[in-house]
Amino acid sequence: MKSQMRALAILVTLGLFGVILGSAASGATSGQKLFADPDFGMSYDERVAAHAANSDAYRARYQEWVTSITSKGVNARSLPIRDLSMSTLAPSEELGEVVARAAFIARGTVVSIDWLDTGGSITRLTVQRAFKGSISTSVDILMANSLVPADESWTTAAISQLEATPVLFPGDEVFVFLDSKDKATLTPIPWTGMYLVRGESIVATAHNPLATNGEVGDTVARFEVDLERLLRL
Amino acid sequence: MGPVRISFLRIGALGIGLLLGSTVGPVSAGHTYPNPTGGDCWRIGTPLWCRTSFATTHDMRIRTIDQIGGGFTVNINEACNNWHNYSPSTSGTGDIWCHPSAVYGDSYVYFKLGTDVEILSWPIGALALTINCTTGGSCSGSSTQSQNTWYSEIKIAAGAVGPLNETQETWVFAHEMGHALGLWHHGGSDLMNPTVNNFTGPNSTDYGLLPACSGAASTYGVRCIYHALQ
Repeated sequence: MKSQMRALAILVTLGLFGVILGSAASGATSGQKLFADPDFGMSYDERVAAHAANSDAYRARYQEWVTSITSKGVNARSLPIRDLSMSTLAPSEELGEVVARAAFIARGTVVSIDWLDTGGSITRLTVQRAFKGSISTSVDILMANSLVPADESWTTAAISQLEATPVLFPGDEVFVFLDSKDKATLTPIPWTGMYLVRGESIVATAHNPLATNGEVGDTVARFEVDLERLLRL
Repeated sequence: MGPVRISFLRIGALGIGLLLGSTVGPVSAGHTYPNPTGGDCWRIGTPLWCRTSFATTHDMRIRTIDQIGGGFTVNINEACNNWHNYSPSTSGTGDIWCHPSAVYGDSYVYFKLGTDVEILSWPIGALALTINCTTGGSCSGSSTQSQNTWYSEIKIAAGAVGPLNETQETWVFAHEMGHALGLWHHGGSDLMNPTVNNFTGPNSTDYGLLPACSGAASTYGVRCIYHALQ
């Protein structure tokens, strides 16, 4: 009886071993990982708590990671860009609407990007000319673009970019149309609030609908004249 | 004879185990439905996010959890159900189902207010952001890597969503549900256009073509993720 029990135990063990081995072999064949249901057997409260704990742990790890990555220096232009899954209101269809909406309008050059450990970033601009609002020689623009881990081991970084407010890189010369969320917080007007200067030409940033409807795409001199005219209205 | 018989039995058990293990293992990417026994939902040509179905069928079952308050539950459920209602489930499987209560094998999608810190850097006019989280400890609003979504958090900017009309509110939730299902923005006139419109559910572009995963990369749709190649 004792030997039969031992034999049965061996059979069960070998059977389980075979299941594991078989699963691994099948996974290796398809090149895929085997995922067990992470919520299996948990109550609603347990699931909600587990999810909340995971999100909290991510935020804590993210803060440390951003600090670590930025301490080494970040060359933003060298990083891959990934779109952010954020939705927005529809963009303005005319430059006049953007001019009227903006609290601040300025032409300047991007000097730096500070990546925030809570997500988002601050783009600093030296101002060459202010067209609207009282802007000093430098302005900080809060943007939704963030540094994010680009791989599962968090060793490389990418930029998570809101299409409506694309990343402006240090050295970029730009016209910016800014909203004022409060006295201390300026954000670009989505979709139609940023224009790059390329030589003597104005280029609307990617996805800016005013680039395709003939509103912009002119020379810097003409753009400034248009701005001044619209500001007088 | 006893030890010999046991050896044969050992080999037999190992063989059966290997066979069983092979049948419950993950499916080959690009050729089948999400594996209802817990396989990897990642498929060739899909966007970078997808959810694994752990239901007993191949269907995707979403439990919507309204933590916003303020009477959005109806819009949320309508938005999610519009994904189900559109899905032409030609083979009876691979459909998307929405449940405000528990269902076996479901996957949670939370609808929450964005916190002050979270929305601080959002521009005025930003409506909502979908964050998909994985068991690997990643919670991301962008597609930096292929990943299997464990649960999703849809963060709403209350100040921006509040003034919208009913149709637009439903658009916000249906659009973000598209992200939770693994879709990215389209530039056309459809639900996954990133700016608010009057689509309250997916159209053929959002859902994708048959055979699944055919057509241009931007037209894959959810069918490419959750339906069989047929």
